Amino acid sequence: MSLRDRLKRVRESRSAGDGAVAGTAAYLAGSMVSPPASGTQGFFDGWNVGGPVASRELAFPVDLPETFDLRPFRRKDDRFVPDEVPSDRLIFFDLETSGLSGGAGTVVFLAAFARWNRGILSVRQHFMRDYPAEGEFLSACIGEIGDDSVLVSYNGKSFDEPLLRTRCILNRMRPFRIPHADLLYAARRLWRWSLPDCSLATVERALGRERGPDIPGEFIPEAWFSYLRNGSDPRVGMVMSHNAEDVVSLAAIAASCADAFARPLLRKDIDLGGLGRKLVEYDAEAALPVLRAAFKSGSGAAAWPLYRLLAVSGANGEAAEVLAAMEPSFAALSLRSGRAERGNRDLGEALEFAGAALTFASTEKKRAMAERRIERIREKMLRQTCCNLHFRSHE
Amino acid sequence: MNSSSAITFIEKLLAEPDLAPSIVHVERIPAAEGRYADFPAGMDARLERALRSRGIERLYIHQRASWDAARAGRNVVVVTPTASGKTLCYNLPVVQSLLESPTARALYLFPTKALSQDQQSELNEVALGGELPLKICTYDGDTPTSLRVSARDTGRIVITNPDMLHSGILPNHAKWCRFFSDLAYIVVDEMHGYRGVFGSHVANVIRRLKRIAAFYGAKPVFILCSATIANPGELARGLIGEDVVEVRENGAPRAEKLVAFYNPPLVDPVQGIRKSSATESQKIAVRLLRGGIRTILFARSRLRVELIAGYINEELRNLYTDNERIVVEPYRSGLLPSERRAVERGLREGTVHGVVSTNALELGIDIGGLDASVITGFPGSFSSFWQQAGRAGRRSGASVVIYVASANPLDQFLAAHPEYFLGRGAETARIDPDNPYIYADHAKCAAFELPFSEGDSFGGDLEAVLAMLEEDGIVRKTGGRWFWSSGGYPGEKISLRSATADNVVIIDATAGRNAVIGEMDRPSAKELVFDDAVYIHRGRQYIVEKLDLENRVCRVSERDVNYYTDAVVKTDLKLLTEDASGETPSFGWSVGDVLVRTQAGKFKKIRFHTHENVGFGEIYLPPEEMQTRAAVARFGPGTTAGALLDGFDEAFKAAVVASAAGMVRDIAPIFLLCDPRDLGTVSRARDDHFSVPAMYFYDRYPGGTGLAEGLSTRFLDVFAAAADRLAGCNCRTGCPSCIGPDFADGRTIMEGSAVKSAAAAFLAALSGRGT
Repeated sequence: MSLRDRLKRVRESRSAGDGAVAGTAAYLAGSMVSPPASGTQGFFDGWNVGGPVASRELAFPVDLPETFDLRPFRRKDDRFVPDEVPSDRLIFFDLETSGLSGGAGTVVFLAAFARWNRGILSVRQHFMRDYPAEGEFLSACIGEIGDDSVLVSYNGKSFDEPLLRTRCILNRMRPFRIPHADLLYAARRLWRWSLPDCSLATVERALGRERGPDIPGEFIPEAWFSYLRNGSDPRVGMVMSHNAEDVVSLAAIAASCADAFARPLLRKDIDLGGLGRKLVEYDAEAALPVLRAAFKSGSGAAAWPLYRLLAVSGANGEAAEVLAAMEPSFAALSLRSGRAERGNRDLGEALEFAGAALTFASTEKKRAMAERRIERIREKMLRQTCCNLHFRSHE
Repeated sequence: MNSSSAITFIEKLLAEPDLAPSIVHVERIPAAEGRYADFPAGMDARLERALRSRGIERLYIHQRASWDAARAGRNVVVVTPTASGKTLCYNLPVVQSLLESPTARALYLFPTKALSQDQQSELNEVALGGELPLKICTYDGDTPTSLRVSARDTGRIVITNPDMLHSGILPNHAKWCRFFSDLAYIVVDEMHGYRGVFGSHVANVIRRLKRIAAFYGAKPVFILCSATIANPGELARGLIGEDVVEVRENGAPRAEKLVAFYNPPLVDPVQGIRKSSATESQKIAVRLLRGGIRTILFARSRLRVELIAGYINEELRNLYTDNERIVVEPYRSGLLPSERRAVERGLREGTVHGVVSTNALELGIDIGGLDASVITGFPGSFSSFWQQAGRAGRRSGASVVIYVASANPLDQFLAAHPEYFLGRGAETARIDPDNPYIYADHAKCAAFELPFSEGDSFGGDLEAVLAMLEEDGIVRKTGGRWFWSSGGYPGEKISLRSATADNVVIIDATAGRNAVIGEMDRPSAKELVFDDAVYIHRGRQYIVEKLDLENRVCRVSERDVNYYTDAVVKTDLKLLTEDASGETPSFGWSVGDVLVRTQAGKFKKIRFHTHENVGFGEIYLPPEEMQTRAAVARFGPGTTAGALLDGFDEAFKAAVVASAAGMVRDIAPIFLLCDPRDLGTVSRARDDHFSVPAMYFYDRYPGGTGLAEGLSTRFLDVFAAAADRLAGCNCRTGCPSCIGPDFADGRTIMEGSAVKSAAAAFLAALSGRGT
């Protein structure tokens, strides 16, 4: 059963009302975390409101492999991210903030951290009840981040993590430093072409997760300000569920991405070309069939990595086929010319491709390269003709 | 060319029969010996080596004085003319401290991006001999993202501008945590540029900077540098809010300098028409260049720069001698940065012999010293005249400044009264950091950057501003602190400058070419590169095919024509709201929003060389509009000032009101602590809105900065001061110190003295002292 099907079943079982998990009162029917009862402090139901930082715990069933392969998510600057970790060391996190543009005046007022263990995702949320509690709020957040864990987020490398770091600095707390895998980049590879955008909401919908009434992100800061001014705002309850929903989706997207990279050829919803281009960075063997399949189904993006892979592995015949089937470009035509010149010594063909490459040369440098190539081939042709004449004269 | 032969050549030139009669005055500024001090004890050996490798064996006294002050931990302001080794005044103490302490950092603040570029190359190549292990980074709008992180984390000297500090660095100070923790020096160069409203903004940005540095435990020392102004110490103290040591004694040697006043000869003595200052100054520049004299020619507009550079090159054109091997380049804004860098380098290295420039080269960009400076028309202030004059003159070798007067009445007055010109001191620079509008904006930015606590000091009336912000729900007070509690990013909406930032890119589309050849700010584009305009770029002529303002591109194609184009620009002002008003016995006043509309509706085609008008064209572009605040003084029939005006005919009334408005505009900055360029004025003998004579004074910053409100409460004082100034002026028919020389628009028919005495009576009536 594909992961997608499994997620679908999870959803069905939830709507049937038999998905409740022991130990948490707040886990409710449907995939939606409880929309708050309207009313003054209704949204604090289920929260521990003993101090200036309110907290609560929730749990959801989520399927993840026991060991999580992080390589699909690793980028060039992610040196600290290990190849793989036991899935119970992943920390899915998401922050709600008082502004969307960042800067020292933007605070985090709500955070969700989720850990997975044996099919259950335990979500812990912390809510800062007013500004002076920021120090305690941040301590609670940092307390969620163990030394040996790996953070997982959606766009968190550009937004959430730097912001949390800024808040720590401003509160004179030592900022944390642990590996961080951002799912956004992998998600873009998989769904860029098939989905209108790669926002968390769009991707989760494509994976079959449905939310009930939700608050759009741009209204979240105002909900928090209004809560501060008036002591309550019903929208804050929606923000809290929104935040919890986000980390659950995060885990679901992580599972779907991991599945896609583990068994790409079984998936129909993803862009094999994009996936193959990532895969080839760390597993050439696994990437080859993926790129082949992608290329066959018309993915232009797969052509070059496939060609390079074939050329390096010595599969010259297939490499030439790929090259021949490529969109004409300066690079492709130059290579074909080169192959004709050296490989099968068909100088006429080499000249033809070099001439075609010249028409695609968009810069001075490329033009010069093409012209040099043409000249060289012409010289070779001239020499060959001379040789032939020479031989003939001795006949 | 050595000193004596240069002076001989110049003297010979000035004595030539076609020039001599037009030279109305020559002022000799004598040479001065250099005054030196030894290298300070304890100077790092590497630094000393770097200096010696540049041929520097000792310091000028002002360099040494600023070293002593800065190294003792005292703030210092150095006032030095161009080419007096200014940069070493700050580079030496900063580099020494950075070499001593491997973590210390310095922030250099320059008014413009071009200057930071220049400074970085100077620091890298020249000052440090490329050997000192200090990483120097420029951080501005052009810095690629990839380099920003390394500038923040590892740059020992970071070079930026006030705008970037305001909207990029301070709001994100946590990213600069290490930099601020180790900040030892803040260098403020070209300090004289930070005056008026812009200076008041910068003073507040510096308040914020100091507050953030203090948060990270740093107490940086300020080193400020300024061109000559009347009050450098006062301005420095105002900008940084701390005491400073003033270093005013310049130790750099100076060769003899001649300042010649040249008034182009009359071609029509009856009508008083003179030869064009553009052609005359070009003629003089060509002779200087042919004599081997490296020359800079200053012209007042970009168009004139291109015209004059073109004429000079045409004059020198000679295929066989390769233009006599003299290279002359135009220099102005709108050229590509790479083109500008190339000209600067050419001037420094001597491969470019002459340059025609707008005031863009007045600022401290390093181009080495030139032998002659030709100034076409008074540049607007005495400070900038002397800055332009300072471009001529190296440490040895005599130099000459030739001021060529234009037909403008102010120029004609100055040419007729060189003693007045030479007797004027430098202008006073004023700022008002506590201007409530500007202050409130920056208090807001500061609250975003760090919460304020009770008892915090931040200049100005902090509590009042915070109370207002709290009322508006922008900050939240809780637990004795004010927290930013709004979604916005305040720095984004607050601009330190009045000019808009959006630029139009000029694309050469000749025969399928598609190359960017320059860029220009939008308001200028409407006046210079409208459809069918002739755009001259480094001597090449282009016709504008299409100015596409929406997409901010202007497509031009190369074409040889025998004319250039000049837009006819009209400025109009309309009162939108009247928010406050009052009546006094002598006048009434109002404050409100106004729309200032500038429109180029027509253009003239003007033939090269002869400058005759060969045609007109229409410009179909929307007007440039700015909404701002204005204070209006109204002179209705029931007021004493109105009654006085009633006795005059319309034309005379208009002249009197305009003269008085000009006086008020010149005096008001003293009361408002702003710069004359911050205020605009329009006067009317019969206002469209109020139907009585009126003067408008509007704020040149979009939206207003409180100048109109400030003026409305002080009209009486300002009128009184203007009346005193006019009464105390000894001229007979008006001069630049009072109502202006007596030729201004439409007033030639009137007796200047009649206007002057009527204006004096009018101002006296306004201030309630009249009869």
